Amino acid sequence: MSEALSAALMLIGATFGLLAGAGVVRMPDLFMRMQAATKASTLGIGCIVLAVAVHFGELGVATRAVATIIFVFLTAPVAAHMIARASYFVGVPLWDGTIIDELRGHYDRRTHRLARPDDPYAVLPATVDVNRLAGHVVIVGYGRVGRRIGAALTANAISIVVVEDNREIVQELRDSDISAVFGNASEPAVLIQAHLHQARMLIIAVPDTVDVRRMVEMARTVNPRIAAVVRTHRDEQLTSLENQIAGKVFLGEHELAVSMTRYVLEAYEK
Amino acid sequence: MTFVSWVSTLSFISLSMMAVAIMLAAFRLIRGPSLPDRVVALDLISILAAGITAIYAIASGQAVFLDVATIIALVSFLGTVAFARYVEKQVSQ
Repeated sequence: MSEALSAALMLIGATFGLLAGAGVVRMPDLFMRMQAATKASTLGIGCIVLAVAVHFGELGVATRAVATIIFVFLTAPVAAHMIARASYFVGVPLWDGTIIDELRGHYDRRTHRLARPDDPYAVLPATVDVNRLAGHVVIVGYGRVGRRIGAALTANAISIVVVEDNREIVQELRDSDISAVFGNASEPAVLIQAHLHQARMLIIAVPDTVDVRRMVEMARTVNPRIAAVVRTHRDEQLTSLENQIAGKVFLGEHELAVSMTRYVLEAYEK
Repeated sequence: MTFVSWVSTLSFISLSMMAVAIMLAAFRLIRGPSLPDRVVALDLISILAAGITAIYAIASGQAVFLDVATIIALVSFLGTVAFARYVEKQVSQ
């Protein structure tokens, strides 16, 4: 019985060893390789040493086996952490498919110490009602256009979260009880702060079309099903932009012309 | 099939699996591409070597090999920590 148990443990341990080897070869970046190597090798050696203890069935061997397991379980995470930390400073590249590097910008480059982002405007306050952060609209930019959209949506009881790269505006919005996040909307971390993954629509009310593409691209990696609404000033951009972002594009001058025409037509009908 | 040969067959299979794992890790050690990749591969190789020694303790019936495995694990930890410090120092200069 104990022989069978020992053999099973030994085989399980060897399987974990093999998996660690495969993981180290197959995983796409260092940090994923490490997670394969350290977890599997620790579990692997744990099982094998346990198998030795069961096989011999002597107190002396069992004691040494348990001591070895405890030692490996204590040291493996420490070593892995030190290597990972060192490699992060060296700038070992992350996998291409990485969506967010949550450590970026949080390390002091010189002292290598970890610090919280000390900007309270960059994170959404914990006091914001959770119910307002689902199915809401994320508005990027609270200038002349964004302000009007925001006011109209709020009047219609649709909850909004504003992303704005002007600190004074963020402060002003928070004072008037509107959720707002400070930062650049083309950074996934900022979009995640705005709870974009739970949002229903993304309105980009800033006119710069180059950044807009990147913002929508990042937004889609955070929330693939988000509906995007953007604006432009350039006629030739309209179709290409609409195809590229797979959303609705409004041409400022066109909408203005439509509204003015309607006014004139209404005057003639009277 | 006698009982003893049953155990030795299984330990032979386990040893082969560990040997393949070491070869895979050695591939990463040679390939890199970064220094930390190599350190991780080397760390895995020494841990696997400790595992092989422990399996050999079963295969040979000599419990002393368990102590050897413990020592290999210990040295591997010290080596990895030293490498980590070295990697970190290297970039801050």
